[in-house]
Amino acid sequence: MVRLAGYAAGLLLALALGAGSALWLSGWLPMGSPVVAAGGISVNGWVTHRAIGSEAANPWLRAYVARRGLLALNRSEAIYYTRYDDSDGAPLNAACAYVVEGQPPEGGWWSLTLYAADDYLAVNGDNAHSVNADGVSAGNDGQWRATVQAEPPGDGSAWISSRNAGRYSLTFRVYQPSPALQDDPSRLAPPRVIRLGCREGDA
Amino acid sequence: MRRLGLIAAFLTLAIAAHAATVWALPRVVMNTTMTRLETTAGGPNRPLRAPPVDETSRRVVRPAPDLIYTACVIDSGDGPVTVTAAGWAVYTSVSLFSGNTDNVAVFNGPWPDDGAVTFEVGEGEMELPGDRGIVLIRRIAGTEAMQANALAAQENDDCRRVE
Repeated sequence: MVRLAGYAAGLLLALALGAGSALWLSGWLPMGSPVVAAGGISVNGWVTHRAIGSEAANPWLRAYVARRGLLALNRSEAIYYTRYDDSDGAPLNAACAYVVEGQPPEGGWWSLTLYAADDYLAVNGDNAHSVNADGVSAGNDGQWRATVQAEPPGDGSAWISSRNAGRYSLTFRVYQPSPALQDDPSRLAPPRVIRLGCREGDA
Repeated sequence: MRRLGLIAAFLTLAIAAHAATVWALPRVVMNTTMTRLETTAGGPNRPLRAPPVDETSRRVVRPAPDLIYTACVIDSGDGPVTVTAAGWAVYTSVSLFSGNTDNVAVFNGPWPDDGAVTFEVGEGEMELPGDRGIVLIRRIAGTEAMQANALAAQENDDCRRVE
């Protein structure tokens, strides 16, 4: 009887270990996926993967896409760059204000979107979840800029609301990327995420 | 010797559970999503003209609020399905996803405002491995004016089984 219980415990432990490690390596647990990270490309903190949406994706990346980016296009049509921290490496935080600035990428169109920790748009009623190539003009220096913070900037500049977003992420989408960018996604001139300041006690 | 056998059985089971879980995750998620979408659309091979994405959009993770989407759950088990994308003068795409999340085909416009493009899923460059998948029509709508126009164009999107 004791031996039988031991076998049953071993069986359950093996199944739990197999399923748990699958969830971990596929990015279904909060700590991210080491397999996806190992095969990914980081451009100054903006992370993408060449095989997102592709038939060349490995099984762990496919499972990752199912959880974090279902119905993602392959890189012939769009490249998705995501980051969870600012340009100094500190996690993005709804209690802080940031300026994001960069050059228009090599492609047909772009957008920058904020996603809350649950991978959906932040529930805040602000209707300010993203900026895009049609809504933001480049300045004299050729750079576009957007403010990411919990309150409207009040100066009419492009704004992405981080209210109620918690520890959020930013995704930079480049549609119809140039052939050169498709071939080498690390060619992106990466937008900078500059922290302006944080509410005292919340950072 | 017996202990080695038990360890080997334990590892074999763990590896099998790992492989089965990794294989199943994308298929289960896609199947769940297809069921949700076709329920809303009234069945497979029917267009689901989604309203503008906002913070209440919870059917698919990481939706893009700058796009207007039309989705169609494809079931080509009884024959090919045609997908018609109404004309859109700026960037648009028609993409096909298989039941394991792969984006197996994609075409992009702009296509003329007064025109429409029709694809046949199950033929040529729109081959689907398996019977079921999702076609997604994306239209860029980066401003409120573009959004209104995109919603009007979306009314002419369609998908249906070839009779």
